[in-house]
Amino acid sequence: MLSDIAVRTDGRTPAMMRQMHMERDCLERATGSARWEQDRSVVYAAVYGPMEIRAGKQDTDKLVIEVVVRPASGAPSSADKEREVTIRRALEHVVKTAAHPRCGIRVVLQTVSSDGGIDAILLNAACAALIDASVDVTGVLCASSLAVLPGVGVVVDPTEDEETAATATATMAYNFRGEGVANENGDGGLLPAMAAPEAEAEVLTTLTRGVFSEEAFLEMTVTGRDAAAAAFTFMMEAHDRYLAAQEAHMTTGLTARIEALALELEREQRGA
Amino acid sequence: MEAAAYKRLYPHEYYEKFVREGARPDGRPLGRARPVSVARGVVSTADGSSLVKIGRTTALAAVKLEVVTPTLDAPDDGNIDVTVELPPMCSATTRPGRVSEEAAYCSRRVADVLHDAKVVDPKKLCIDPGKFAWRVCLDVYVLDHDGCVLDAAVLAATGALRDCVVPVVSVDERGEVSVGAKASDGAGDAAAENEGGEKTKKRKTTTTMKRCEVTTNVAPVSLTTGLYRGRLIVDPNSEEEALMETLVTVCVDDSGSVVAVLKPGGDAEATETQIAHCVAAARARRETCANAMRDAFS
Repeated sequence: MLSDIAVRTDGRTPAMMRQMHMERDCLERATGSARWEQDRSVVYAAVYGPMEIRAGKQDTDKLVIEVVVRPASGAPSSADKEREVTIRRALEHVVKTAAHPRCGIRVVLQTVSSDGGIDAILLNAACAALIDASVDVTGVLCASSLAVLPGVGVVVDPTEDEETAATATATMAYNFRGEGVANENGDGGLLPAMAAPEAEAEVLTTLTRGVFSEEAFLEMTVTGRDAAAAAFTFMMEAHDRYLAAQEAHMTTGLTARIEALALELEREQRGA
Repeated sequence: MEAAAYKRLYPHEYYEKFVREGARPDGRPLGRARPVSVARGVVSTADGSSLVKIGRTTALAAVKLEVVTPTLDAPDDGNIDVTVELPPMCSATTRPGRVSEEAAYCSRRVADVLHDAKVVDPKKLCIDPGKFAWRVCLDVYVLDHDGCVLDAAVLAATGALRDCVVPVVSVDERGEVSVGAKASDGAGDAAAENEGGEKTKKRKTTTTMKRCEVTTNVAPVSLTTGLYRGRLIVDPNSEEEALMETLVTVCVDDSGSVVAVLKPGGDAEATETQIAHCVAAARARRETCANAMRDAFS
């Protein structure tokens, strides 16, 4: 649907996302944390909880999620307040809030540097931090940002310059869950059926600016889903690598201790 | 059990009974929106105002103009400041005090829609580049919250801007701004007499009775659709809004292009077909709103 010609200023094709990097468990004091990087857009996310909430703000039926968004510099603006509301509404759908009544969690998102597509990156980072904190979730929240560039059409993951030049921009978030199908991309893991290219796109959250045609918007829904699926694949691989590294670390640690104990016992027996 | 008690105790079952038959408790089919009425010039002290009713949802918008210094990065542009307020009278759940989340959300959305649809040309608000420009302070008060507040707010904002009359303004040699018809007299003589120093500038923004100077005659139309158990419920009232899994707001302009698609999370996702239906419903709504505006402004 989108052309394969590298027509964008940074040499990407319209459907190409910037290189993603994710680091888990990077903040010591937080229950869960993640750092999400897409080229020059970098965000840190931290999850604190479960915490006690004062009686006025408590909800007897479900978990209360508080989201704090801080910009790279300066005081939080009304746009940041609005992001807090949007992200909170998306997270309330993804987190199993009914499983933890009367508790609260706080999700803090700090932008380190911003080069376009920051709303989607905030959502991705928040999801990664929730997984790191082992919060019960119904699915994996993945988001992507899109723009309509004059003369080029729909592009994925715009830089700040592209966003300024665009006639319309959009952020789409999807909650990927359900039965898995084989994933052609990545290392052959499973992809939820709703994230596959053939499935109909189901959007959880959409935010748009600018004027566009209906066709352009529907194309953005589908392209956004494919881009979010790529983010999903990347996130799952990153989590798997982290867990494998943790397991290896634990196993070597355990093996070393067992060997040391065995040596000690042998020495005692020889001595005795 | 009588109907009123059943409705309070089992709201979802009660609503489902209607929706299954393709209707709603107020008698509308699932795809029908409520009637719209627009009135203009309702606040005499404001520079422009309008009152919009969508069913029982009522929004009152008023415009006040003031002369300010334009910002450094946009010396030729005036600016628009939109505030949507949900005062305590509008519904049982609103409280006095801090601005509620919904009101802040509506303010930003209305401002974005007016900006993206180019309802007002900021260049037309310029009086003297770099020195003086008009600031349009647009306040929308929702007097009655019966669902789809954003739709009413967008329409009321457009109506108030269209009703707005920009007064004559002139800037004299000392840089003083005078607003009003009398300001234009004598400025021409002063220019002839002035020898050194600043020249008198006389800038007429408009004559007093001329309309539509502020707006570009674009009228964006917004329609909110609720998703309920896989069905699309167009223009839900406040009781229905509480039951909806999620709300999708679509804003279209006169040519049918989409200005905004807003779906702020919620309990359910929207598929492509559902979104396409929402956009189609918004497009179909254009005519009703255009007729209401025409009746008010003819």
